[in-house]
Amino acid sequence: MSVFLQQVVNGLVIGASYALVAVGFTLIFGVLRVVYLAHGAVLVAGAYLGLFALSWLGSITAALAVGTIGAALLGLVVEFVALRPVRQQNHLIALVTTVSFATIIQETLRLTVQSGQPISYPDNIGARLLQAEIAGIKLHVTVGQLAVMVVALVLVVALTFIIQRTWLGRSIRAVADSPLVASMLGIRVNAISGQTVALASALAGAAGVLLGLTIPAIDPYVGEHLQFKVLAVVLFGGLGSIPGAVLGGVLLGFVEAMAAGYLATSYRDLFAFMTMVVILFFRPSGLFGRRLVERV
Amino acid sequence: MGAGSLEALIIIQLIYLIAALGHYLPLSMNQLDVGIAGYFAIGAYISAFLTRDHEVAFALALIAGSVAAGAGALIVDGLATRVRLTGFAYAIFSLSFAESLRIVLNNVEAVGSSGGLVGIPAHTTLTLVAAIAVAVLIGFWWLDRTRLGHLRTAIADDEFVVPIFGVPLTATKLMIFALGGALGGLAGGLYSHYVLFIRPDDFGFALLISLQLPMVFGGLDRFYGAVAGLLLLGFIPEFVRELAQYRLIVMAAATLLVLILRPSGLITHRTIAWVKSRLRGAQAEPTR
Repeated sequence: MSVFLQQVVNGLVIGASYALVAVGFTLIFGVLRVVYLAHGAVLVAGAYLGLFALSWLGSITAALAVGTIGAALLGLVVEFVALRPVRQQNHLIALVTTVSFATIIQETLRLTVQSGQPISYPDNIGARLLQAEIAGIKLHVTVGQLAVMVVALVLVVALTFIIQRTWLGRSIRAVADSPLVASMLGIRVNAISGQTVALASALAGAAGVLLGLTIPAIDPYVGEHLQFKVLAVVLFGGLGSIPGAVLGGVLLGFVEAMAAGYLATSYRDLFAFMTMVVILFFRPSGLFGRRLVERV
Repeated sequence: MGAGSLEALIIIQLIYLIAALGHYLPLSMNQLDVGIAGYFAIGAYISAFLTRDHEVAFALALIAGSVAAGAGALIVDGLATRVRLTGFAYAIFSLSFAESLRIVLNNVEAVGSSGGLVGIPAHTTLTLVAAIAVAVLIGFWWLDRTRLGHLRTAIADDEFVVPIFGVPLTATKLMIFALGGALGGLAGGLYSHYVLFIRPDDFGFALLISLQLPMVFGGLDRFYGAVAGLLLLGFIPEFVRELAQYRLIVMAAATLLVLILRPSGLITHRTIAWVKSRLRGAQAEPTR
């Protein structure tokens, strides 16, 4: 029973970090409707910025703040350089520009920080153990895991508030519905696109710092791998659906934690890709989303 | 750079060229099939498995790998066409297939799982690769002048108009998809019999990127744009030794810059027309 509960906790932690990346990802897809593949690289940039902040300032809060803000600024740049100039082109062009930008980020990190060798957060600060006892069952939770759950919850709630209750959120939803109509209503579509990517990137940056706190070491390529899994989560939940992304992320976390014991670990990643194939084939709009495929 | 490594560079780049032309076929119809790494892997694995474990003649194995890859493309694109996926969804769908294949290959004992397939007999020579590459290029030049080639352009422009003229749209699309997959498989077979050791992770996202970026850099409007992009970004960084470390970042930055300034890529049919008119002494200069 305690093993099962421990796996539930682990699943919840992995799921929370998936959800954090997925809500940003789904926001970008839902609003800009492009194949955006720089999210993983922005996340890694956030993780490295957090690492530097942690080494200099020594506080996890500072690391989170630096990672989040740095990633948001980077997101603004990505939108301005890689998305805005090619808005009128077909999907392939945006795919290539965002991948190019992601490559530039990854390669810059590889060439400047310890030639791309995996690097750990100082003192393994996230790995410090906390113990909790619930109804006589001992659970092991690390500082990093606790931080993931708390921060992910706070940020997802904050994002939902922004999208549902603020002027920025209303503008974002208007652009998602129809950029043309939004522009006729006096909303600056370009500015909103930039702010959307910045908002999503902020979440990715926070997720990067949290990832650094939970895994033994980060390298410039951890984000790329994560990105495809999260893509599956986003498709599962439906493009542009925040509740769908959260549910999908937590679900994938649980499935992976549970499958870790029963399936070969190398098959674990297949799950994400097969989910994408099946979803696209049978229900392209996902569980909660609007229609992704425009049928004529 | 020694003679041996120059030969190696040319062979690998020519193999990439063949694969890239296979990748170009679906893209030239405006169908975002980005599963080329998967078709390449099918060709590489099947042909290598046949020559290594079953002593099948190289030519036969090459054809078998190529046919299997074409069939793979038919399945992926057949499914995608059936549910009418477009743009974004199409790209993710085909990419998922390629990545799934890579993960499965990582777990199949018969082809060495993640350790890879070793001891593949060496058959690929520079002459053979060059001959095939030239043949493929001539084939593309010729294709642009056939009915199938014109239909391809028509589908790219507006695929819903095509059936109105009594053209079987799905069959035409699938034929071109299969051709593209088969070319990818052919390149894969040549690759595995040259490097002699293949691992599933050689055929991941990175392979797609190293084919895709140069093509878009050169321009997708006509096949020679894609070819030019591959030659420019494939060869030049290899010759400048100081650049080796920065190969990827240069490739990405160049692609990004070209797409921002000129989203259609470096060379389009208008560029060629413009150059031709210049060479002729150009009285009336056509608009670019």
